[in-house]
Amino acid sequence: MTAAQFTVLIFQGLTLGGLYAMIGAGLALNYGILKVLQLAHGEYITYGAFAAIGAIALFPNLPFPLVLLLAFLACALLGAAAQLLIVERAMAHRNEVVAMLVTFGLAVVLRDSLAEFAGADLRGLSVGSLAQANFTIAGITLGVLPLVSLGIALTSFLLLALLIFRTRLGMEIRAVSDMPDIAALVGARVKRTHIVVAALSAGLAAIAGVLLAMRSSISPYSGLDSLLIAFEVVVLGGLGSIRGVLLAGLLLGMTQVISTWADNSAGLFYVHLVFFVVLVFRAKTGKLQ
Amino acid sequence: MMKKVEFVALAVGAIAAICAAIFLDSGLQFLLCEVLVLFLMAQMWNLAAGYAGQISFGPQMFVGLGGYALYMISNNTTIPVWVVMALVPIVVGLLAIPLGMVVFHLKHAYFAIGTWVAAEIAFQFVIKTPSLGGSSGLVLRPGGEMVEGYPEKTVVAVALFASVALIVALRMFLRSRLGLAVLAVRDNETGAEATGINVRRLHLALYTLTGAGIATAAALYYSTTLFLTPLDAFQAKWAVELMFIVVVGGLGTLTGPAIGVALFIGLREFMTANGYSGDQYWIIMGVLAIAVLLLLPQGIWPALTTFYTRMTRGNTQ
Repeated sequence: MTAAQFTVLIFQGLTLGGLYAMIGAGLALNYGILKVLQLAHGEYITYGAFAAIGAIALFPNLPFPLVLLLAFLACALLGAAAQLLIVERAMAHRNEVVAMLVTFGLAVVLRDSLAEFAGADLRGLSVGSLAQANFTIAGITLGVLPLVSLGIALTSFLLLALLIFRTRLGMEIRAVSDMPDIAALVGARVKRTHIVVAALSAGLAAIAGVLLAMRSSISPYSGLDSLLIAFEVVVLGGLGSIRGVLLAGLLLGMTQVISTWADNSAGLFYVHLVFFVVLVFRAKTGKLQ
Repeated sequence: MMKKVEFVALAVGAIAAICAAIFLDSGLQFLLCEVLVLFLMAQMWNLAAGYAGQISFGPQMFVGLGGYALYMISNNTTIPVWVVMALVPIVVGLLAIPLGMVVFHLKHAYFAIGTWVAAEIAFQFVIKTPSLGGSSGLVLRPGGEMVEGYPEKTVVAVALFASVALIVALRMFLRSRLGLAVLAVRDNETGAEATGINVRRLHLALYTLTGAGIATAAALYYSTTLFLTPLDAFQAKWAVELMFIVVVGGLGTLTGPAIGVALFIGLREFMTANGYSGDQYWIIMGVLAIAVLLLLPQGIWPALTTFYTRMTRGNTQ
């Protein structure tokens, strides 16, 4: 392997890692604050992708940032509605498994409604000339699209971190997450905070979905695959930690790129294996709760 | 000890099994096979999730292991399929012990996700391995010969009797010392441990038993399909279906899964017969699951029994 090939490989690993981290970001937020394993997360990712695909089909000249915003808002609204009408009620139940299973029912309803409405075909998001665009640095040619995708992911993470750690809303969210009862006593609006978090988490999923559809194709049934990646990223990053999610996404992205380079038929075998081994090792050494 | 009513149930089950094999037409037998196999698997998932708190997203691991154990041993040896069928729980049970020792380092959400990933690893491994048929799967050819006749005739009888026998066995098990330990752990793990129950060993035993049970049901199922693909055997669809059946019917009860399967397959057959699509069916199932969880979070069967006791108590007062 030449140095140029190595650089390309690292670049691919970074961009895929950024996408993986993005896929997990919303789930980490949701689990970190609401303590509910959101099984509809993969569906929000798919809905984000389809919202973008639909928007471009209707208005072919819509600028890309607007498409991204539209997908974010559509899913945020969906996430807020689902939290308000369904998940919030289930969270009132003593057993936390009930809330998780409710999101599971929600996932199935969302998935099959989309398949019924949009058909089961695989679709991609066409980004015009951007798809083929590339640039050359020191004799190494890299794609523009993956770089844009990585940029969007990193920006989203930065904004999320700023929101959580530097704003009043973020303070309220952290308070509700740490001690819901006391936060309520001192005037935090717990239910409203839950809905904001659910909306934000579904919106982040939508951005991940747009990035995913730009990179490869997506169908209404892709939700479970996305959910599995999201789970791996979130669990590896230490359930709920934003920085951990970024690092875990990069680790899994790198693993996939390098294993595919070494073994053509690798698929996700080594990604899952690395996740599983790290998880069990951390559990064995007492690093998990 | 077996109670009289359980002995009668076993006898009735045996007669019904023989009748089903002789009198039902082959289409109905195939459907009944699916119902019974799902019931057996759901009861196993229920035993692990409802009685031992092991909510797993990866039962498809054992579906795949059971199917592949049956096909690999049958195709590559001269052992008759029915003997192989009896070997499947032993083989898969032995595999489940080390697997359980690994996944039991994980708790709650970590356990659920870890078991799903473990199943995916097995899936990707089979796809990458040509001697296991790769991604195109395997055809059942016991000892190199094609299967003759209609396997569902025998399988339906075995599955029907096995379902009745499983309920009787589970009832007896829950009355036994070990069963009482299981119930104690379900209700209060710390308390149970304080009274001297080895929770870890008990969980491992249940994991192994339920894994072997799911594998056996899967082997029954795939002996009627005559071919097996990794995509079908290891897909998360199994986890989705079993969760639906158990959660809607009633987690942690013996009757719940039976009601769940009846609803699950009954609704599907009704809706396909009336021209609804598979997607529409799943939308209804999803709405049903949400409604049941919000209104009767314990499931349909526990809600019915509570309602019944309230009614009868009302009458005596």
